[in-house]
Amino acid sequence: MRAVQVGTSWAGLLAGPVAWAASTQANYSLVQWQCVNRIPIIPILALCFLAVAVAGGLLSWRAWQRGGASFKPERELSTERFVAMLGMMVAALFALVIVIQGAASLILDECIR
Amino acid sequence: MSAADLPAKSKGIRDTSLDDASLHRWLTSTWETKRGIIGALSAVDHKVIARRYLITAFVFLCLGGLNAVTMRLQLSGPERGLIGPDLYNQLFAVHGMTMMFLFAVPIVQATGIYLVPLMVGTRNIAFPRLNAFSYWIYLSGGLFLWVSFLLDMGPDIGWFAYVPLSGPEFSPGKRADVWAQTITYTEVSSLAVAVATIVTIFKQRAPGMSLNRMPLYVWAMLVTSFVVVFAMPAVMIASTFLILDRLVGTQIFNPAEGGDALLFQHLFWFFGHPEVYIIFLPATGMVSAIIVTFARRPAFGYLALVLSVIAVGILSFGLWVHHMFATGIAKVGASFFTASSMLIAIPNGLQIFCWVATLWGGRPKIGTPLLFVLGFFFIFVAGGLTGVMLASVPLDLQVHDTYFVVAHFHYVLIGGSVFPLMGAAYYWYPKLTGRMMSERMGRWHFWLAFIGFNAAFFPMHILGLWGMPRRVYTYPVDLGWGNINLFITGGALVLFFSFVLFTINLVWSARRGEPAGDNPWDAGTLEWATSSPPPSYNFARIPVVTHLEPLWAARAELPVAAGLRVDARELVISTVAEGHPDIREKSAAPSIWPLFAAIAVGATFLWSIFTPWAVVWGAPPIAIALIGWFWPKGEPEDE
Ligand code: HEM
Ligand SMILES: [Cu+2]
Repeated sequence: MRAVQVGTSWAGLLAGPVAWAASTQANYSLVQWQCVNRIPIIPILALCFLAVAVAGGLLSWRAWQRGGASFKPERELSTERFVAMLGMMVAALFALVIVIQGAASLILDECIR
Repeated sequence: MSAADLPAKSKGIRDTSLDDASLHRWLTSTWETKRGIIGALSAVDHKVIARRYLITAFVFLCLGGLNAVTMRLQLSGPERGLIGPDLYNQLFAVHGMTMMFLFAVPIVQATGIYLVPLMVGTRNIAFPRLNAFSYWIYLSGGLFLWVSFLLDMGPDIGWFAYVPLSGPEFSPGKRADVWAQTITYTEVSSLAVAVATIVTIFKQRAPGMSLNRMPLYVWAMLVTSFVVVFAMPAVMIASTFLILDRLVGTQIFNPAEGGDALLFQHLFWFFGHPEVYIIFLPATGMVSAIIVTFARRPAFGYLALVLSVIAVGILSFGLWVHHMFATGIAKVGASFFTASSMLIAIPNGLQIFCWVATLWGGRPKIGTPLLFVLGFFFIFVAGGLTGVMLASVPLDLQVHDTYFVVAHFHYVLIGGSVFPLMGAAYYWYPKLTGRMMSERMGRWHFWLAFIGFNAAFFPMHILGLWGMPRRVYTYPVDLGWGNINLFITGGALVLFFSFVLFTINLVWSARRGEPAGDNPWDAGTLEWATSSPPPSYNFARIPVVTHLEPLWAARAELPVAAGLRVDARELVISTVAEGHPDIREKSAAPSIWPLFAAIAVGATFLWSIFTPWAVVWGAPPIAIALIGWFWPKGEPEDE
């Protein structure tokens, strides 16, 4: 819980890429399923993974605001903020990729080959 | 003098109380690579190993270049009878494999082996024996491919060896097995280097070098090494499955028996796309280092540059299906990969923007290294543009497997990697040899390479749009492709000649070049803080870092740390994020066992193209070699 309160600098660095990897893999595998069942699972999943990436980015943002130093006194402020800023930006970039990939399934028909 | 004293305990002689001369004597006797043949074969000094890697990889560049020139001579006119189809097939496959697996990846890793320990201010790479082992494995893999080629057993299935062509039915004989095992050798060695590099960067940084003070080149090597660790296993699985299908009779890739041929392409390209970033990312690090030094100011947007290296490294794993657009996969699935292929242009563009801004805001002086970087901008951006074009499915379906693709990937590979590497060669050569390379020859080299390259590869775009397929050994007269192909061959010869000039420059400057001194470019990073060439122990006293460009911050004297033993190989181990000095740790002494282990492993791989039992009979010798390798010998390093 403390991690949520004071933030976690590297959260975005982890959550963004992991959410995107899972989203790419899951949605790529589900194209066939969506074609058969006609349920828009791909955009729904993409939204869920988007939430994961954004959550990671928010944790990094919190750590950036707090400087992280309050969490672990041995941490250096500049390093902590550097990592937190990286986390925010990585999370944002991968969130964008997830959104655009998810949007593709709204435009194209899943059964075209 | 000592800014950060290391925790003191244990016996042995420390550097604290020694004057400079006796410090030098002690450290030399502890760290030096012994003379003589056994000494050379047991070497674990990262600089010695890196030099071997660099020379070997350069030899393979020349061999791969000779393959290319031979192909171009055959294609210089229609229906030329210089080379038959069978040899041509081997030529392009061996060219592609040599360039990718024996030149491009090893040379960027070797540059890292040399530079990373110096840049982070430590005395040797982590796992030095593993590093030595990796070189021997790499060398045997290269010899394996080239001896096979000279015995008319070279792979003839392209560098990606798709099944079913490479499977047992369509490739009888040993050629496809040579492909598979060359992969195994080279990937084992790359993985070993990657692990050593990661640990060096995470744990052996000089005190004070926190993540936000790490040179951009070191960031690039860190990310690259992670990409290697995640990408290489996929291709090793592909090549092992292939050899199982061919040798043991499994049907992994045979759809008729419930296998899956497309699985091969997925496994290969899950590695193959990150592979091009394994080649490209270190080059971005070199570009950053050169630009910062030549612009004489810190990088504009350090954080943005770090961000883009990380983002590109990770995103590179989500692009692989763009090599498979022509296989009939569902369009929605393909569109995910179009999306990431186009979005990777964002961090790449950001990087270019930061570099240009750095040059803009600085006072650049033009030297050969910077010329090659400027050439890189031009060529790589052009290659990136055709890359974004190819990422769209309809265009790709039109030009797939034509010379348009050949043009595209040479623009990104040569522009994105070879040009920065050449810049890096001119830039770091003084550090390796103590002498400058000739600027005059350097300029000739650059202009010949730049003109030759564009003359050779730009027309290939047009040829591809006209419909000339890749991997054909000739073409009919009436298609009218003769003149443009002749022009391309001319360009290729100019490009090749520019490398002859480079070789002459390398050799000439080693003897006659101007003495360089420690820091000829007045650069800011730690590798320039020691002499050129560096002593076996790299730094007499471990530097303490307080700034991103330590040598610019402390013009007069660099603060140093003290407390290491001098009668045993000792390193400072620091924390991952902040680079706080943590403990002192031993670094492995020279040993002949990595060579024996490599011989045992190499012989097993070689034998395994003939019988699967090689794996069983090869295991005991490998086990013996590893036991010898790790046996404690009562040296101070074992304490
Ligand atoms: C002297 C410079 C070079 C020239 C003239 C050259 C020329 C060629 C030619 C003519 C082909 C075969 C085209 C075909 O028949 O399909 C080819 C293929 C290829 N080249 Fe190069 N090349 C050069 C340098 C490089 C470098 C530096 C790299 C990599 C770092 C590279 C990587 C490749 C690859 C991967 C292939 C594809 C092989 C295949 O089809 O399996 N080349 N090159
Ligand atoms: Cu690709």
